[in-house]
Amino acid sequence: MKSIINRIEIQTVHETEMINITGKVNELVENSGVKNGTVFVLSLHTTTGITVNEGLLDLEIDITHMIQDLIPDEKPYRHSRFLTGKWR
Amino acid sequence: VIDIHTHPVMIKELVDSDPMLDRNIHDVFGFFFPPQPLECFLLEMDEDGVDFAVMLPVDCTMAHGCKIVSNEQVAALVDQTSRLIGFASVDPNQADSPKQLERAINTLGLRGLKLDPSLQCFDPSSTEKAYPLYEACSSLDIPVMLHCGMSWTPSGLARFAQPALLEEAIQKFPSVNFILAHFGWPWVLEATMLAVKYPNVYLDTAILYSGTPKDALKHVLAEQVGLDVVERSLFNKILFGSNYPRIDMRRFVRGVRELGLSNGTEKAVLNDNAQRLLKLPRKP
Repeated sequence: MKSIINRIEIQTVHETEMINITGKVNELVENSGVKNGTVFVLSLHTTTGITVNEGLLDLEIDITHMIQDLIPDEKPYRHSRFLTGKWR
Repeated sequence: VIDIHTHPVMIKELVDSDPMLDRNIHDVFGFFFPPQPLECFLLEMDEDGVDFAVMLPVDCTMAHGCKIVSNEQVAALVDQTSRLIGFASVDPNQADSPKQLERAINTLGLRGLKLDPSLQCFDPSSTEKAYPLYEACSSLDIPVMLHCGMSWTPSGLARFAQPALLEEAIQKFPSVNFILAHFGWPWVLEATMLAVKYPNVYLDTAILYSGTPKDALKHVLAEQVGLDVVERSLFNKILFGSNYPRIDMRRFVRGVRELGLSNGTEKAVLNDNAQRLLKLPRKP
């Protein structure tokens, strides 16, 4: 079985945003030469998620608002403090 | 908006070019996030309208055998974009530090002096070590920013960073503008006293010991100092500083905007006071 691993970097601009990566994934698949297989897309960043949905601007805005409502800045999060020393 | 308090310890181009810097940022400066390209920093500035940022190095050669970025590295970074302003740092424990400062200002084009008595392990009231540098600041016509209050660096002692230690120097060098960082927390009222009394004392907003930037700013400026005092006596003395990257610059801008200051004072804090102090041209 042939495995190809590609790593791409994406520069975000806002604290909460949706970025359509379909084109980048398609391009990598095309360039790989693989005609029949499965693509796994993983994120190396801790506060990033990958979702599959229709690429509609309105939908992207709705999802962004939903995330902002789910995790608002204002809540008194326990981890809103300085962590003294690595990972403490 | 001008952010007068940022540290270039998360700039990938810098960290990648200096093999020892990464270790020193971890072990000496006590900062643990991985570096990001300079572009990320500029995009964060854009997000909440920060036009300029002051980059602060710390020369702790004698105490820790390193510089948390050198003056030359700051100058090289500043050369890459017109949005960065570089301060110099020299080690007061080295006898030739005033000469080093003169070179950093006149040759490298840096615009102020950053001292961190906690990290550099010196007494800022020392006539032997600190006063020659204040004298040099006077001759060079540059401001000096001193870390004040609690230090997040692992070995940093707060006793060197008590605002009241500076009072005699503030009197002795009236032509030098002293920027007391972090509002001197936890000696907030001591720092406020100096800023209220002396025309050459400024305070920066880089306050964060717990909670969000909004929480900390509200607690210190609204509840401890009082917005009435800020509006009447400190409106021209407070400088916006975030302490990036220990603190998210964008959230700090929002925290200031949500304090409920008058429009004039908010503008002075976020921009005008630093613009005047740093002699920056007004926006067209």
